[in-house]
Amino acid sequence: MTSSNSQPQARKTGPAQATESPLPRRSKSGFDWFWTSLTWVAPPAILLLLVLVGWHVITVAFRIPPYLVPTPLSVLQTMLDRRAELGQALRLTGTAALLGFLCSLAVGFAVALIFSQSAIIRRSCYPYAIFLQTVPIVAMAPLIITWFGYGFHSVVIVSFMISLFPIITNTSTGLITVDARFLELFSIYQASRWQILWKLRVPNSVPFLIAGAKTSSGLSVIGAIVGEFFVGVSSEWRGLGHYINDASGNMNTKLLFAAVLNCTLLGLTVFVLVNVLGFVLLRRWNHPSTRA
Amino acid sequence: MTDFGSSSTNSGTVLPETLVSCRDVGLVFPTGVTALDGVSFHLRRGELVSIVGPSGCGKSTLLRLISGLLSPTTGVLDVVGSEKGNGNRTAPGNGRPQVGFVFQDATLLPWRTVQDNIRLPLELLKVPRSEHAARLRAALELVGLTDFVHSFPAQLSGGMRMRVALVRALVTHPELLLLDEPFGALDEITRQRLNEDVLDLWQRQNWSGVFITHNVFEAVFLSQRIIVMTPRPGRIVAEFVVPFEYPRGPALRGTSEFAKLAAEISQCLRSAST
Repeated sequence: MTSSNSQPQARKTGPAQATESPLPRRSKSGFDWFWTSLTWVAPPAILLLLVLVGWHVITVAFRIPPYLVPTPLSVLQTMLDRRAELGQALRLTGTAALLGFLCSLAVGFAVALIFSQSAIIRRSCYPYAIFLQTVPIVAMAPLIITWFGYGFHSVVIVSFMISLFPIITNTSTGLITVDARFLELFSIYQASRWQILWKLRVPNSVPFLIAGAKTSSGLSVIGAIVGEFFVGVSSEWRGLGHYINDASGNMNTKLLFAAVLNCTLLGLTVFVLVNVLGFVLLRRWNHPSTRA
Repeated sequence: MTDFGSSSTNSGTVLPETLVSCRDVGLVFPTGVTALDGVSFHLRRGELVSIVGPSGCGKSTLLRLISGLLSPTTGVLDVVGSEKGNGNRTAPGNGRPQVGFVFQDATLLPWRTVQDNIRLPLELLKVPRSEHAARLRAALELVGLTDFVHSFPAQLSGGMRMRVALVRALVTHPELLLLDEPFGALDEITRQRLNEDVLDLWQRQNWSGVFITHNVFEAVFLSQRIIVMTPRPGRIVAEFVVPFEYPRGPALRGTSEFAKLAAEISQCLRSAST
C-alpha cells in the first residue's frame, strides 16, 4: 500500500559480506579463566609438594647423612641464612647471563643479516659458526679467562659464546626462507634490496629469532655458571658458579643444593621472561602459534 | 563491441593504442624446458582479455613475462606506458608502466593489517606519505573493506583476502592489471561475486587487464577477448571475441548465448589438448 522500497536485487560491490566473524572471540569470563589457570598450576604444584615430602621422609627414614643428601628444610634454612650472599650471587650471575644473552642477540642478528645478504659470505663463514657450536665451551673457558681476566668480562664472554649459535642459525633461516611469491610481489614494485630486507626478510625472521632466543636464554645462564667455575674461588667475582665450586670443595652439600636451586630459579625466570616476551611479540606479528 | 581479431600481422610498428605487444615470444627455461613458443598477441589500452588453458600451458609464465618478472628468450615483448602515466613512476630504465599483479593466493604479509598490506606498494614505490591516507581510503571504499582495515589476513575469509589483494594491486593506479588465476581456490558463489567486483572496478577505473584462468565461464563473463593456449610447448591456438555488452550483470550467466560461447571455447580447449 505504501511506497514499495524497491530493493535492487543485483548486489554490487557493496559493503563486505563477511560470512564469518573477522574478529577473534573474547575470552571467557574471569571466573573461567581462574579455573583454567588452576588446572595448569595445581598439578605441578602438587607434584612438587609430593617430591619435597618424599625427599624429607626418605632422608630421615634412611638416616642419609646430610653431606650426601640434606633434608629440604635444611636446604631452605641455608638459603635463608645466607640469603644476602646468595642473593648477591644470583644478581651477579643473572647480570652476566643477561648481558651475554643480549650480546648474542645483537651480534647473532647482525651476523644473520650479513649472511642473508651474501651467499659468498654465508658459505665462507658458516663452517666457522658451526665450530662455535661444536667446540666444547668448557675447553674454551680457560683460554678466555687467560685473555680477559678472572672476572666479569670472561663470564659474560663465555655466556655470550655459548648462546650465540642458536640466534645465528634461526635468524638466518628466517631471513633466507621467504616465500617466493612475496619476493615476486616486491620485485613487481621494483623494491630495493634494502626494502626487501626491512619490509620482508626481517619481519619474516621474527618468529625464528624468538625460537632461537628461547634456546639461547637458557644457554646464557649455563654459560655464565660455567664461566664462573673457571674464574675460580680466589677471584672477586662471587656468582652462583663460585658458590657451587666452593661448596663442592668443602662438602657443604646444603649450600651446594641452595646454590643449584638458585641457578634453577634464575634459568626459570629467564625462560619465562623470554617466553612471555616472545608470545607478545609473536602476537604482534600475528603468528599462528599465538592463536588458540 | 570491438571486432578486434588477432592482429597477427607482425609489423614492427606498435600502434599508439597498444599497451602490450608480444611478437613471436618464446621462453626456454635453463633446464631446457620450452615454456612458450611463438606467442604473438596484442593488448590494447582499456581492454580486458582472458587467457584460458590447461595447467602447464604456460599462461602464468606469459603473465610473468608481461609483468617483467621474466624475460623472453626469443621474440619481442613490449609493454608501453602512456606518457601521462597516472602520475606514477615507471620502472627505471625500461620505460614499462607500473603494473598491478594479483597472485593465485592473496599473498598478503601475515604480520601486516589489511590497511598496511594495501599500503605496501605505496611504500615500495616511495609515494609521499601525505598521499597514503587518501589513496587508502579510496581503495578501501572500492570494495567495501572499510570495516576490516585493522584486521589481519588470518582473520579474513578467502574471498575477503582476495579482495584485499585486488585492492592492493590497484592502489598504485596501474595502467595494467595482471591476474594470475586469482579466484581458483574460492567457492563458486564467492568467485562469481569477485568476478562482478573485477568488472565493476574495470568499468569505473582506467586500466587494462589480462586475466588468467582455467575456468571458461569466468573468462566469458569478464572479458572482451579470450585467448586459448595449449601446453608443451605453450602456444596460442585460438582467439574468441566475446560480443556481450557492458555492463554485464549476473543475469548474463543464465543466457543461452553465454552458454553457447562457453561450450564453444570448452570444445576448442578439449580438441586442442588431446
